[in-house]
Amino acid sequence: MEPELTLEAVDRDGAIAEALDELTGGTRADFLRKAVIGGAATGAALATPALAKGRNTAKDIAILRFDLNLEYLQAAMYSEAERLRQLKPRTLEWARVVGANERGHVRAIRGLLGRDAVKSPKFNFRGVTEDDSVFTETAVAFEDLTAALLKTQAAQVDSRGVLAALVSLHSVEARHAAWIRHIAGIVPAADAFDEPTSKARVVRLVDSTNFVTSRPRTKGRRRPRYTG
Amino acid sequence: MTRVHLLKWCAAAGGALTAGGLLAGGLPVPAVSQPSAAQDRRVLEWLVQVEQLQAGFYTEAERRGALSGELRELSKVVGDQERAHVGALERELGGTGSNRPAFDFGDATSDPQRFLAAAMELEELALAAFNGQVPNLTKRRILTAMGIASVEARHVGWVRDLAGRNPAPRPADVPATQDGTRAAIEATGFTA
Repeated sequence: MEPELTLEAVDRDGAIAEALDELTGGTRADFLRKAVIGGAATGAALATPALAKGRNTAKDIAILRFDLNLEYLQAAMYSEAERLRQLKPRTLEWARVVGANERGHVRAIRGLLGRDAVKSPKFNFRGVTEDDSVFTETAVAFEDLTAALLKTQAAQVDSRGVLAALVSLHSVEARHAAWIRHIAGIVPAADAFDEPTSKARVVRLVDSTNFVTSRPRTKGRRRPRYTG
Repeated sequence: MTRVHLLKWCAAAGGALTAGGLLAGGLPVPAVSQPSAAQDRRVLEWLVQVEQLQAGFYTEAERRGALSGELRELSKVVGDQERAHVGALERELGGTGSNRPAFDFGDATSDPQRFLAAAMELEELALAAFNGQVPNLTKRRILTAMGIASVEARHVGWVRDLAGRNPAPRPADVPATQDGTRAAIEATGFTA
């Protein structure tokens, strides 16, 4: 019998635990740290060079930065809706709870990226946060697509630790999707299997909203090595 | 998590602190195995058992016909999906060779309030079981398992909203170990 591998063992610099512990609350901290990455676990994650060095690979940084921008967008939209208080009570409650979750995701992904984190773009929600039906429709699209995108990314990331983190966020996005669909009166679980989606499709959706008014950063701001 | 919490945890963990500290100190990484077809098989064999429990629950609820309104619709829609999950996982495993265990759901499939409470418990435990196993899988199976986990999470959201409970009380879902899930299943009292 192989010993079970705990999250702590793969999470050398504590970044994942730090990000997730905060999200799951103090009382869950022990649970998570002891959480085994799977019952039939092997030590695959220990062989991941990135985690062994406590750094993310370039591919993982690019994926996490894209997610970070998407979480910034959702967090900002739902937070604005909460602040303006123009939605129907159930939608407003959704915006309050889900806004807090998305802000938590922002902190978690920033934590995973460390100094590779990018700043939030600027947004203009063009009245969507004050119109119940348009808000709901937009939220359904964002939540369904984010859950779909995280599947694609989970299968792409180099680090099993980052994978574990994306898995924990992914199912929360699916909860959000089911909840807002239920509020909208559409079936919360339309299919037996949820399909992954491409980054390009998410980019097209975000572009179609015109919510982003400044260019999202996908590259870190590093000082040039030599300056005149 | 703050450093204070981390230190507290380490103190409580005792031996783990030493092990973690040594690893963090850069000692040679132990020889390990990567995700493999054999491991995928072990994981899927486990997850199909979790799906069988859920499918059995909704199938019995439908058969007993004690639910009405949206609960009845939920039972039908979710039941169809759980049965589809069992079928898909069995096909991934190369046939219908898995054992169909017997369950005893008692009143949970005939009383609406008990049904809702049991559904919430079963959906949460299934989601946590999938989330715990995804990082063990090869890339192709990651997509299979997450495609199902995502639907389990939708079930959780639906059931919780219907029960008047916050559908997404935390920003991150806590994964469960195989042992943890086994204990949770045992605690339901549904396994004969």
